[in-house]
Amino acid sequence: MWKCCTVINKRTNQRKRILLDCTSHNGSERGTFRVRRISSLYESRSEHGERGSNGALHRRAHFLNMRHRLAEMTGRPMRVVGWYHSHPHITVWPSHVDVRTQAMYQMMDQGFVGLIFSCFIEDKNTKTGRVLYTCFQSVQAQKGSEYERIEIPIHVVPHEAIGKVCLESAVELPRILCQEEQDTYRRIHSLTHLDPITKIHNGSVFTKNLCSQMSAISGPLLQWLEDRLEQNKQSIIKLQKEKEQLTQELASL
Amino acid sequence: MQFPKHLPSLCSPSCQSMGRGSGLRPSAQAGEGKSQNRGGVCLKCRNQCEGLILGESVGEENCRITDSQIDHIQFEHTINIQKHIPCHKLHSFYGNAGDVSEAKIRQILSDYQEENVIGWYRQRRNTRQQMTFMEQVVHQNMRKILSDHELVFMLLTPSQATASGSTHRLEFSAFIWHSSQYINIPIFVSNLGNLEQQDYWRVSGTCPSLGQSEAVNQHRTKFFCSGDDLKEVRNISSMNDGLFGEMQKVCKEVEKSERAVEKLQEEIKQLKEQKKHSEEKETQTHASRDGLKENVLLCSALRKLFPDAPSLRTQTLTVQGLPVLELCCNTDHNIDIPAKLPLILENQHTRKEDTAPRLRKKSLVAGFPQRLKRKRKTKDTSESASDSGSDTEIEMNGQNRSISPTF
Repeated sequence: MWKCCTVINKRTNQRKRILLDCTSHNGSERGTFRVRRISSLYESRSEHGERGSNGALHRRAHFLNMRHRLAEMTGRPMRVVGWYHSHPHITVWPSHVDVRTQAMYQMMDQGFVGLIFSCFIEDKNTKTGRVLYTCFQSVQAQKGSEYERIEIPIHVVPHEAIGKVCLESAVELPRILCQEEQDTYRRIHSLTHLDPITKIHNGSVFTKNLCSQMSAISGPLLQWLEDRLEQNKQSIIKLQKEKEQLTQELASL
Repeated sequence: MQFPKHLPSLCSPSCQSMGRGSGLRPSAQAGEGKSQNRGGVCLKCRNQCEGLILGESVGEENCRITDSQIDHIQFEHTINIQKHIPCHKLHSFYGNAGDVSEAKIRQILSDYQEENVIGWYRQRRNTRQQMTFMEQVVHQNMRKILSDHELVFMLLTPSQATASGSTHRLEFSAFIWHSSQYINIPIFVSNLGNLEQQDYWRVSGTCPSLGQSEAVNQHRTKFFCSGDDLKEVRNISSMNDGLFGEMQKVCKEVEKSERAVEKLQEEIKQLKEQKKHSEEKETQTHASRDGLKENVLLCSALRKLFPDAPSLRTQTLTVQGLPVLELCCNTDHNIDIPAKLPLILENQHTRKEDTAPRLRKKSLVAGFPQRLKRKRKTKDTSESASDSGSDTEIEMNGQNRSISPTF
């Protein structure tokens, strides 16, 4: 999994809250930088209508609960530093709702960042597919009470191995989707006025949707895990040989 | 989506890019449509990486009759990507000239069949979405070897999208050789689609037919379990739980293997550092040993021939080229001169018989002989070697004889 390190440029003339001091990109001004290191991603259930200020508050409470769980899993203190969501089939840029939501988060934590992943984009002319991701924060617009986006540089730190939290997070995704489907089905199935044919139909819809999830997510994910395991086994054999060779060379020196 | 005849499309499962570079993780969502896709493309996003793509090629002929056309046949050719095999390094199955080795491909495939290879992929950062000449050559050579397939080349190019570094992108496309040129073919990534719950019925239709009610009740037990649960729902849920269980099991094994790989890499790194450190230390030791190496034979020969000239046995000179007496070798190396250096004794014997010049050295500290002068033989001014000062004098008898030992 990737470890993502975002760099936030803040000129804090009044507060000396310098965590990392370095020259900005153009080399002419000195600014203070704060670095946020993202080490894990954690999916949450999608809850409709939970955008805006209320959504931000609800999510914040959820994040705090997750923080404790992640701290237990990783064995080190964890802190929620941002949120992410996807933009399938649309551009990567945050909507005004996204910018406002981000602004609400920043009221609770100034360093909170937002990530957006844009996927399933295709250039029809060149037949080129595209996946993009961006990192942003919100600032008050100069005119009016609205907020506008500011770009936050993001740097992906290379990492060879995948961490436990990230692996479990990957496997959790199909569970979340299944749980949502089950919740919807149970809610409808519990309606008392439905006749048997309607119930059988709804059962078929549930089966169909679950089959879609198994086919397009769980199956490919399981295959990826199996492939990864196989690759690691081969890597282990090669690395062990290399280790033995090095040990012998060291002994002969 | 329909394509021109004989022009395939590529169905790709959800791309999961992990690792270095622009490690992205787009959400994998299952889909409708013609996705018969299994597996995912997992790539370690190094600066450059490549590998083989396995899958199957499916052709389908669709015949459609409409009011305007009685016979509309459309041929759809779909290449399904099922999995990929990354190569541990570049140029794993081809040489510098682009010549492809079938044996190396077989080695990379290991347990998989060559027939499953439907193409290869390459990822390179900050480059254009265009095949390089080398890639074209490799692809052509692969086509000659794997001639049964419509081979596809997939190119992935991660790059920075904005100058600030806040936005990054990964572009991907697929190329095939068609009509004497490389062309792009469309790629479908499987998508779960919109999972709105609109397919569920929330209201039942009103049907007062008694016959219908009777027929439905008669067959009810085939669909419903005890209570109100549907058997189909229970069965599919059990199957799904089984799949999750399997996923969890493999996930744990993967996690263990990741830690094992990490640990081995760390150990190898430490071993390499130790080896480097040891090699450096040994190089320094050799250098110092070489510096102090003495030619003991020469030293013994000089000692034998010129016992009174210790300065000849020094290895260290001043900047001016004068021997440093303090560092002269005074060690008797116990060399068996008659055995090892017999010619010295021969020369010495010859020298003793010879009545010619005798080297009189006063001191060699001040310098090498600065002048050769003929000693004037006078009764009054005959000087001994010890009184003549620091200059070296050589007594000549008219013959210029070398006094150096010959070997």
